Amino acid sequence: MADAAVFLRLAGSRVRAQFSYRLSFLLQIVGAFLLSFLDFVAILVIFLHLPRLAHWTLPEVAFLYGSSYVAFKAGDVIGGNLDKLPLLIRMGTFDQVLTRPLGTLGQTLTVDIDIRHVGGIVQGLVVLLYSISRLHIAWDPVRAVMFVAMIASALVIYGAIWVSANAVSFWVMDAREVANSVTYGGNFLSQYPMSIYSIWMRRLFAYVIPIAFVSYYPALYILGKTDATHSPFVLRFLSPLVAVASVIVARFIWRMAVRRYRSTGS
Amino acid sequence: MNAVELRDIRKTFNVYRRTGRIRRERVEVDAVAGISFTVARGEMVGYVGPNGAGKSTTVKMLTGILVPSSGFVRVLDLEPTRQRVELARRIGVVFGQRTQLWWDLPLRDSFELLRYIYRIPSDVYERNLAEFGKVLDLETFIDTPVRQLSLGQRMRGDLAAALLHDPEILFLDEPTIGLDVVAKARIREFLARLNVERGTTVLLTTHDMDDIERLCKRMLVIDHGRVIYDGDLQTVKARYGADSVLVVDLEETAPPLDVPGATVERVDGPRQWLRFRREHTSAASLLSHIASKAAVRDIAIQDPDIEDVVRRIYGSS
Ligand SMILES: Nc1ncnc2c1ncn2[C@@H]1O[C@H](COP(=O)(O)OP(=O)(O)O)[C@@H](O)[C@H]1O
Ligand SMILES: [Mg+2]
Repeated sequence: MADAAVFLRLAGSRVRAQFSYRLSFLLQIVGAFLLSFLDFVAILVIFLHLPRLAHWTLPEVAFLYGSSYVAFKAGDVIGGNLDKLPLLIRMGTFDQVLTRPLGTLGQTLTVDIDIRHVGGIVQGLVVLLYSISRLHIAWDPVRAVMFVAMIASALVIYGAIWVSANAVSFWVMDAREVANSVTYGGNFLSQYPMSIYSIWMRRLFAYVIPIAFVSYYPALYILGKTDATHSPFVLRFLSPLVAVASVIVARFIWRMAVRRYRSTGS
Repeated sequence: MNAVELRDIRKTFNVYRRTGRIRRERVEVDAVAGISFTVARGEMVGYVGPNGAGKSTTVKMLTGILVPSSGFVRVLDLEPTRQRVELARRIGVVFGQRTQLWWDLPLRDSFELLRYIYRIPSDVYERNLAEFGKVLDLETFIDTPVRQLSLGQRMRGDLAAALLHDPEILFLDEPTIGLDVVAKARIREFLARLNVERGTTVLLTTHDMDDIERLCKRMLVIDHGRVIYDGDLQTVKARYGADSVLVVDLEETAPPLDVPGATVERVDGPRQWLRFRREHTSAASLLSHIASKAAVRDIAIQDPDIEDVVRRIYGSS
């Protein structure tokens, strides 16, 4: 855990470097905030034509969207670093990571910290607050705990997906497009009720790339909705377990991947 | 206890070569093809060989960067890739071609980060920073971002950075590459002191024979992924005879010069190439002989390079 303090310090130095570089820093955050609303516009457009989407109202879908988006963008602040992994591998700069007495994953995640994603987090929060204000959620201690657990689990699940998908770079050069389609695509697909997807996609999202646990299953309970897909009731409470399992799988994949690293000839 | 022990270590890379417009063929390249040697604590060993010989690949296997394809490696009795973090605390690594520092941070901030990464006790940190700052003369550029440093300055910064945590072994991959004569001399002097005063084991790769001459009692010559010589430089020179060449530009064209201790190898107009052995005769005495026979305009000395040495080792076996 002493390593955590070191990583914080590394991250801190990255943030400071950004402050000194980018003058229009605040502007960029505001820009990211406004731009990220485009993601929500896609949902608004659907509801211009339909009063409900598979029995879900606009505020309900906004709840899925907001909780998923906040977690995703919070993860993006460090997970976005994995975008640079193909470059580290191709240029052989991953060598440096391996010569330091710290975990390779932690170092990769703190190569740079992109604070602009704060704009996206704020946008997700705005949507989430809007939805909560319009929904009549029967808040009780269980729901409150589940709400917090949902966001925390979502963050962890996204992190694990991010790591697993990007680890492919150690096998295949320039797998970034594939990795991005899993991560960004996963976030996009998690913003809708699972009941709109086919059975095979639902199975994929429940058991392989577990984005159904990011917000859909816990939201069913918090919002008191019945599941049109007739999934087992217990799934609503399993997000934290899924998060732990995802981390174990992601760590395993990462460890395998790093052993594949071959540096570059010089 | 040995500092480094390698037994029949191999590293094979799969390389894809274009054979047609889109067809690619997989070729296995043996970067390191079965190397064994040990380095005792406190030794300073030169690891030399021509480009592509497998020097960097060996260093990367010793420092936990690359997983060997087969064989046995121990560094400080640790297995580098499996006990990477533990080993990293006890060794220092410098790659001449690429920095270990943060590009956008001043040297001082990089050091400060390394202090936390390596958990260096503050008295050790202060002492090392003060000493390296003085010996490597870092004071003038310690607050400059690394990207603005000259190659020589950056190299000095990298050396200090690799040593802040008092490593027991220092691995250097081409530490003098691209540096000018003054910068090279400074780095060599520093390394020699480090080895003597602190007893740090040093393994350095180079294809600069001067590095070996100035620094290492023992050298390992490798070529095509194999060790072809393990011993001292003097023996190589005596046994395989590495000649130097004196190039003289005379004022006017002359017949091949007759100078004791040297043989004229080539004549091109007023320019002549004289092959000699530094152990037998000095360039100065050659020159005084030549000057007594003809007017000299310019001279240059070419010392044997590693390719020469390798060729001779092969030629004699
Ligand atoms: N990451 C790599 N991928 C493919 N081939 C490599 C890689 N690293 C080294 N090689 C090859 O292995 C051989 C030895 O390389 P290297 O150890 O870098 O040599 P040196 O450091 O002695 O110049 C070369 O033929 C080089 O092309
Ligand atoms: Mg090399």
